[in-house]
Amino acid sequence: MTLYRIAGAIFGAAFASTLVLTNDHPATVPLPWLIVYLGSAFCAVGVVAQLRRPENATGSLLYLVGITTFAVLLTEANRPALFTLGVALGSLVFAALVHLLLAYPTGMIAGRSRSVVIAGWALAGLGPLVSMLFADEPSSCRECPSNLLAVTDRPGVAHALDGVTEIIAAVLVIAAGVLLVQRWRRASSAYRRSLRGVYAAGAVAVALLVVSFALAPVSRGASLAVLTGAMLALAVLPFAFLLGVLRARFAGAAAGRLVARLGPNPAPGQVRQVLRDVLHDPSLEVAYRLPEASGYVDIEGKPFEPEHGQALTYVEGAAGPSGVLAHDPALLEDPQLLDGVTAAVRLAVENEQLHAELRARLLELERLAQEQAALRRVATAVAAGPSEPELARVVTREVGALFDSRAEIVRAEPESQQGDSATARALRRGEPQHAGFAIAAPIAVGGRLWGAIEATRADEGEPFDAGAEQHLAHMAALFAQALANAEARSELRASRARIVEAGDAERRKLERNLHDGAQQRLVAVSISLRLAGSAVEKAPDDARERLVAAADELSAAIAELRELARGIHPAILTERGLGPAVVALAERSPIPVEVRNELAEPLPAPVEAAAYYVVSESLANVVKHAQASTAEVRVRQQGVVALVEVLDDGVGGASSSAGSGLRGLSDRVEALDGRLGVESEAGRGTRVWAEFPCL
Amino acid sequence: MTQAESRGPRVVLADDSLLLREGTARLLEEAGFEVVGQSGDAEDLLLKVRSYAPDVAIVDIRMPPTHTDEGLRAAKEIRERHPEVGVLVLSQYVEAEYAMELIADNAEGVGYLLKDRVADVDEFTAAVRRVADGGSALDPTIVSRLVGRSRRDNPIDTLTAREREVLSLMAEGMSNSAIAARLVVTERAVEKHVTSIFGKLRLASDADAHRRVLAVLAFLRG
Repeated sequence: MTLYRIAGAIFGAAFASTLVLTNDHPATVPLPWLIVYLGSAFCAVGVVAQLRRPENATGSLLYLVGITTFAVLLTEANRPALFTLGVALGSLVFAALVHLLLAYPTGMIAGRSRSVVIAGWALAGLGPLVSMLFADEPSSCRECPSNLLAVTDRPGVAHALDGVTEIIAAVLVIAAGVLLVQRWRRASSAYRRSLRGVYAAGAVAVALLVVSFALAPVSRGASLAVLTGAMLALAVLPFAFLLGVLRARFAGAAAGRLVARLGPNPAPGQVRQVLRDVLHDPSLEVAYRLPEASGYVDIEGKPFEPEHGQALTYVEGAAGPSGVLAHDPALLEDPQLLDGVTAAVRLAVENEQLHAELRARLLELERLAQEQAALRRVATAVAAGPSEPELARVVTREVGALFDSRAEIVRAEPESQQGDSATARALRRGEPQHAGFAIAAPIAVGGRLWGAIEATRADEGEPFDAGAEQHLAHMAALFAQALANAEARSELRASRARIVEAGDAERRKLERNLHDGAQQRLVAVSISLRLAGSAVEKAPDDARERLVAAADELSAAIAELRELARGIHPAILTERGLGPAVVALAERSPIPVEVRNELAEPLPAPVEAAAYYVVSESLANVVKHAQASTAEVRVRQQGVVALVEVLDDGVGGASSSAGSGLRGLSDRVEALDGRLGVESEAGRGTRVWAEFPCL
Repeated sequence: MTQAESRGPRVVLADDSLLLREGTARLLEEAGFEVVGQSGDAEDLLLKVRSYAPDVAIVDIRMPPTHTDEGLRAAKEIRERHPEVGVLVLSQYVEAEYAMELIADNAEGVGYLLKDRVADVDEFTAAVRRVADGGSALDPTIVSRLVGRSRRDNPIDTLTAREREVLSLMAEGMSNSAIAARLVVTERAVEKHVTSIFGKLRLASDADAHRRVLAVLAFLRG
């Protein structure tokens, strides 16, 4: 490829020189030897650039400028065919030049530059051809060979067409100028240094070319003179490009120095220091890709986040990027240097990648160990059954130490869910959240949002690692478990206390009933019998009356004792089971109660007792509150669950939380791991049900 | 309703059970007491005690509104305001504490009997009479509990069976003559027992009956 280009360039220079030497008509271009020189120079610089940076199109563009420059000299030919070709191709050099300027130094064009370049090539290619259809020969040269493409000799039309072409060319040149000026203004000083020579020569040449074109219709002589100036300016241009190419050589040298400094076995982290020195960027950081994850870590294995505004250049390894350089974006404007340096450190970065990966794994292990230890400490604290504030203290202490942050437990209040903080979002979404300097995880107790743990770091510190919120969620889960345990415990305590209180109240009632009822009656009987005894001789009628009264009193006392005993525990329940006991309750009820007993075999005694009291209390409530006309009791067993229901057709509107009677029943039922429920829509009767597991 | 023989002690009776009240009143009247007033609650009782200035007020411990110890409180108030009126509390509670609270530091004209005693007419009326006369009456069940209480280095164990009987009767509030009558011995014999008991229990003997009761009770409780 390179050899063909060298051969092409030599042939072009020789052919052009021959044409200039053998020309028998007036020169159509000023300073033809300058043009020979320009073509040769651009070709030479192009070949050197191509050799130096094969992947960069700048070399090819330089070469293209050189070749198109030779093409201009075809108009020096004496043969009409070559002359015609020269006229047709003579403008391409301008398009090539604009292309080169806009593409330098990367060799690539994009956006508006691309549009200008395409328009330039189109205009330079087509403009002369169209014009040539109407003119026998260039109007400026009578002695020149004839124009073979001329269809009709209409110099006026040709002239007009040339004018249009020139106006479009002027517009494109201005557009290109604007783009170059913009690029210059954006460029850093280092970048400007590499552009300066090319832009200076280019700008002078373009300016003079524009003036030359502008003068052409007015004064041919003046136009040619200015054009000569433009050519001289162009003469400097290859040297300017050569300087740029040599700079790339310097970058290569820098890369070479770099490799030398790194040596065969650079110490971990040395790549960063060397790169900082070579690229003069003290903010430069090197990050390494973790193989399985998409994340990048620094040499210490810590998750890497580039500083705001830093540019990233990836270091390509065998399988995708092995690392990334975060650096001053100004370095992007010297891509040759950056590319060279990046290529030079590739192996070193791959080596350090292994080191960073190892560090990252160690850090992860260390973090896991710390997390496990913290979780274990919290779990130990939980096992001791601490109070809620005590537990909160343990958890916030562990979270604070584990995440090197300030930890807090926030209750789920409406106001704590407002705003965009990690905590507010965690509470709203019920998922752990990460917000840079704050992470939060929700705490749900028994399916109900209780609050959140949040950990915050001061803004000047480091933000939380990605995924830290997931680790926080482990803590939150443990805390939630402890809360659930504590709630269950306190509920159990309360239930036990209620059961004990209910028992005490029951005993007090019993004591009073015995003292004020049966005992009083028995004392009264005793007195009556005494009185009867003392009256038996003197007043037998009086004595008989007292005996009858005493007997009545005794009967009443017996009945009262019976009721009392029944209240303590109905014998029928013990002796005959739940079914007959419920029937007995139904029979004693003042309203009709239907009993549907579907039990095939007796339930465990505690369940039978609890079920009996559910029915007894519910029926008492029906009579007292429901204004019902009938009630129904259903008892059945479904698998391992015994179900007792009491339904009425009364006014409804009862609630399970109201009334100590139902509360006491609920405690009794729950003590057997059962559940008690009340459905009592207003106006639709009441259904009290209790479920008991019977294994 | 009663025969106009020598007028017996005047009694005010308080019990919220009409049945019992009436029965007790009949018993007392048959035994020669004059029941001058009956009350169903503490307030009415205090009013009647003030109005009728009876020799003794017989008060049920449980009365409205709470049916706990209204009677006891009314009894203490009577003792405080009308020291000349004897107070006999009838109780369902076999608890020395209530009795001690009632007696406090004065065993004159005070009594605490279980309600069941009412039917034991002779003993009951004797106790009422004793209280009406300014003596004291403590239910034998409570006394036997106090006496039978287990103690460390129990000096009561050194008493003979008879001495123990005498000690109990003293605690019940009986005078030497009443004890002699009960035990069918001479008063002289009772005095000898009393001296022996006081010696064994290391109590200073005291001729005054009220102080003797207090001393015995203090010993039994302590």
